Amino acid sequence: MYDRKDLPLKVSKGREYAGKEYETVYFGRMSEDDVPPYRSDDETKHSNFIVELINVFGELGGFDEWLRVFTYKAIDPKTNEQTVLPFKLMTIMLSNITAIYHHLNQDLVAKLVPSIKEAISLRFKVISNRDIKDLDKEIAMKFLQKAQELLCQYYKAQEIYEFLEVAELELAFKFLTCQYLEKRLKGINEIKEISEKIEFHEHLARTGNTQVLLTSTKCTKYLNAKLFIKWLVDNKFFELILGDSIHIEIIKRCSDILKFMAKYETIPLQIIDLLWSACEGKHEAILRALVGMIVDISSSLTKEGANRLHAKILSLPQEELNEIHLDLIKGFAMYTLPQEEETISFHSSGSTADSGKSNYFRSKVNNVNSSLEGDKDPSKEVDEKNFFCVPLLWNLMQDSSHVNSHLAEVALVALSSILKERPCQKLRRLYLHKALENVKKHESASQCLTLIYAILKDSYYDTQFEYENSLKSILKELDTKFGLLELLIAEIESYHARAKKALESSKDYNKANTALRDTALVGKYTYHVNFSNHLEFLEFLISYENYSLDLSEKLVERLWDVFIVDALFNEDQKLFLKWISPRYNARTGETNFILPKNEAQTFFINILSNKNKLDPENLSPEGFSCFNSYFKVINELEGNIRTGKNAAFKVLNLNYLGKQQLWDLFLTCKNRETLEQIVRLIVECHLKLDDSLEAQKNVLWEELVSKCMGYLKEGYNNKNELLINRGVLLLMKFFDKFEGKSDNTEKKPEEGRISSYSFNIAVVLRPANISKTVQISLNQTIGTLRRKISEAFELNINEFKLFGKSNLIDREDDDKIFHHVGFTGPYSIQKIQPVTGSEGGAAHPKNIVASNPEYIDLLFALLSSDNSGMR
Amino acid sequence: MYFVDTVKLIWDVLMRLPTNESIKRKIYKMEEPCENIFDQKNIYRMLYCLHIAEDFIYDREKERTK
Repeated sequence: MYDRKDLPLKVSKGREYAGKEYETVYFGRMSEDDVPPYRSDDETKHSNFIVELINVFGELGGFDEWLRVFTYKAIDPKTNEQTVLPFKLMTIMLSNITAIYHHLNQDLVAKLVPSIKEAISLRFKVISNRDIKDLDKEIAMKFLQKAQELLCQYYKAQEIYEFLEVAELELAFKFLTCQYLEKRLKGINEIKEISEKIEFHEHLARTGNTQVLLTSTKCTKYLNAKLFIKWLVDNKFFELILGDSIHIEIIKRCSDILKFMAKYETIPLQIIDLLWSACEGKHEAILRALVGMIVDISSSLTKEGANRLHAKILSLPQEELNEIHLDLIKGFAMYTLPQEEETISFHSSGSTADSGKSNYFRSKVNNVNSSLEGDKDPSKEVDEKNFFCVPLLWNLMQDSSHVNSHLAEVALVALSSILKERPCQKLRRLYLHKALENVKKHESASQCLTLIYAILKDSYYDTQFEYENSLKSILKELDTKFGLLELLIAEIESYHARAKKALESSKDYNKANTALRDTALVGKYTYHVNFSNHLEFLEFLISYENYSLDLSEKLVERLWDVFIVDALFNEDQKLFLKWISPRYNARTGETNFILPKNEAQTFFINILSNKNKLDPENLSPEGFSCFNSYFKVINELEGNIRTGKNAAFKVLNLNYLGKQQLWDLFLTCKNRETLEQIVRLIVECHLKLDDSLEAQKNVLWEELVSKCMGYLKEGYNNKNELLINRGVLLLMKFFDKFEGKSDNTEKKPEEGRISSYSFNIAVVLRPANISKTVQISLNQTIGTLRRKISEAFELNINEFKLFGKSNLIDREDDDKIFHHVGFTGPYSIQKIQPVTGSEGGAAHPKNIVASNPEYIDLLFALLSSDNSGMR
Repeated sequence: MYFVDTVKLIWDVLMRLPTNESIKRKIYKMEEPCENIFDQKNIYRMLYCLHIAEDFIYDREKERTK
């Protein structure tokens, strides 16, 4: 037993403060169930000594003084504010009491702890602005922790959790309301953290996991969603956040709290009003943050809330709208789309928070998709009123709206993306009809076509089967009702007429002034955009495989008249000619046709060969390119030519279609670049002959030479220099091509780099087996190789066939670069047996001219003629 | 006169052709008077003939053996 006499100092008089209710060997009070721990003698002595000191401390008035200091409060005469102890000091003092708590007598504890609790409560109530400035949140939180540690030993835990969690919330609110941003951010973060803890609390409570609920530090013990929301409302939390001291960083953090509110209860209309009025007069960054917050909560609004917000959005004057407003409109529209039934059940089962209350957009049973599409009037199938802001976006994208073209475009893009959403299945059909009605009336047609195109391309299934969501079905429906091609071409004509009228009043207008294409001549969109939209959509319609929409001859002619005959800009002609020409698709290896193949010949004859439709004198390279492509298409269809890889072709029948037209163009075209192309095609038609025409080659070449010399003669006789030039040009090109000279005169960079690498190529003449060597650079053409071989063997270029790896190397490969062929020999050649009755050497077109004295005399006559006044 | 370009083009055609055998024979055989062969009235024909004569001078042996 402890013997006070053993102590060196006689300190306490009794056990009034500690050690009265237990044996000192137990080292402090125990609860009823506790088993006394084993203590060594030293520990017991130590414990006795502590009890002694506590009693002495108490007898000397220590506890009274401690309590006096801990509960200290006074009025600062300068500020007239109540002052209390700093948190740090109170934390230390609490630690002291906590450390000896187990030794204290019950009656002392009963006197101390309620006062401590009161002091703690007071401490949180009287945090002044000056306190806040210097207050470290971590210290305050540590203080709360210490308080919890102590108070939980005396009070029921639930009572203390309530006390402390509310105190924590109050502290966070104090931070939030102070004038220092740093502290305010800490305050909002703290409230956000508490809301997250409450969410976890709700989750645990919902799942019945009470054990974790009692022990986890990640959830609140007392605060629940209902209490927290009440606290937010009572403390006018959102009024504070969105009031005069509004700050972007706080708004960003506030969004989650608002969503919390929406999740567990409804967002009151007052808060919607508050949010809306907070937007007024704010600069861009804050406005964006507020708009982001409104959009975030849109999906959680009640029907009344959504209607309230919708009304506010509609009240905005169009003239004052900007991109941020459009973001709001789009976001609000998107997040308030009616949901489908299966989506509703998914949400409901996943959240019991929703089970007690169903907000409008999740609970609303959507029956808009319940019936099948078909002949029904789309406006009776769906009620636009169920789709907030969608009609507004439609109005904004119209030419008649009061927003600029950029915002109209933003509205169009927003509307397109909304209509792609699944709940808009019926609505998009309605909008397809509305947009086509507009096109029919030539109102805002460009944007309507863009919208139609976007909907059709992205929202319907590309399949050959007909069902409500197939592209084929909707195209059929729209075509039946509107006559899509006729409608579109009528719109193109109408736009053309209006643009023409607008251009007539422009003093800067001429067909070469491309800058005017980038101005809005009619409506909100530029001429260029209208032009592209029209053709792009037309191409989409006519190239869709599963629903046949073919341009008839008449429709093509109407298009031709708009874009070629009565073109407003030269650029239009170029682009249209390129558009209407068959296009080789390198990826698929196929040629895509704008016109149906069976219309190609009619088009070639009635349009491309018609001087009133395509001016041959001023034919542009693009114009001839179009002519050339259709020339090849129709002749291939007739079996007159065969096209191969790289669009090279061979003539199979010398009576090919368009021959006369080609020669007419040759004689009339004044454009030098176009003329070069015409000459190239004529020469190709004479050189790229199928083997079946071998016997007719020489005659054909003689005819060509004769024709060229005929032009020279006619030019000489009639003093027509143009004719002479044409004859010489064709003749020289014929010589060039005959000798394998390439049009590939320009070296590409990578070919230039390797130009110095030359090879000695072995060439063997079969069957005589005479071998020779020719030298060639990697960047030279096969044509050059052929020419060098002809020189080495003293043969005309057309007197032998060239083989590589036993494969015939055709003349059409002459333009290929040697290193692309990749074969360095040996090559072999075989003489071509001359056709009976003709001399092999004489077949060269040069020899045809050189051996004819009449031709030579004509050339000298041309050189020496005195042709004054001749052009 | 033609434009220079046209004259040049025709001359280029002429130069690309093999030598006209009839004219060459006349020059090599020299059976006609020089004034007839080298016709001064047609400057281009004369120039053409002079080219042939030049070839003959530089490569007489080869031409003789032909």
